[in-house]
Amino acid sequence: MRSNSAFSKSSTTLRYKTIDDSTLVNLYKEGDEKAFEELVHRHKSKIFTAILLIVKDSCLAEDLMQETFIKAINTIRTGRYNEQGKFLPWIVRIAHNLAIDFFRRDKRYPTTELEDNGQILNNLGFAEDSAETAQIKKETYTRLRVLIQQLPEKQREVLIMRHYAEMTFQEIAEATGVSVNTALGRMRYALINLRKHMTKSNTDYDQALFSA
Amino acid sequence: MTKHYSQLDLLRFLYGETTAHESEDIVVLLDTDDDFRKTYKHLLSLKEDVNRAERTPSPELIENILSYSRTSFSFYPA
Repeated sequence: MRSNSAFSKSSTTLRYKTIDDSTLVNLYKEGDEKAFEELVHRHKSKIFTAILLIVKDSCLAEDLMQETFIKAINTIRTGRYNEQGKFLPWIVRIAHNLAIDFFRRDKRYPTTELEDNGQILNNLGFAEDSAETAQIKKETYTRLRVLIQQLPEKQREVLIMRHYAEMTFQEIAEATGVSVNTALGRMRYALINLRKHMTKSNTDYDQALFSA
Repeated sequence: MTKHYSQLDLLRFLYGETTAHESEDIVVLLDTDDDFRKTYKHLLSLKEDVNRAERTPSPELIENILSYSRTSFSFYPA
């Protein structure tokens, strides 16, 4: 039998899961650390993946993610956060700027690394698959990340903004100074390129992942 | 249906950015146009794969971030 405190903790966690980002930020401003924990856990994979796809190095991505959150925490704590309801695009933009600053400062450019899949697990539901199927999926998604990293910069930028910062195409167009159709066109080419390369590099891709 | 729908419109539909009226038209097209439906299925699979290709940072990093937040509360009190 679970204790009352276990139930209480579980119901508190559940309560925070139902709260939107904007409210969580406001609660955090008032000193509620649980609200911040929920924000971190809710968005950690999207933010980390967005950084990783830019810098192409998981150690550097971890450093930049920490720097990103320190900047975000300081901004919120000092009352300078004013992006109502748009926490994720805001923090991904901080991460993006820090990554660009790093490369400018360091005068080096990202090269695609071979991923160390042992240390950091994919955010996938492998538990339901057989070991072989799970391994195929894992390799496929690793390959997909490498291909995203190799996309032309403008296409990669739109894909990251749409998928990992959850920005609309209208917001992406405004942020990048292009028309909505240009943003959509870049996304279309990004997806076409990914599909072309996935099919070329893995003949099983269509069967494994296009079976829906 | 009077409007001609392009692949860019299909992309907007895929990402849930079409109006209710446009969505109704596109659903009809997906039922009746094999090429349109095939393209949509391919794009949908890729979109889902890109979402699933997320990676999770290490638990140590998350603990460092939460720890910094707790510590920072003392020098930035609410």
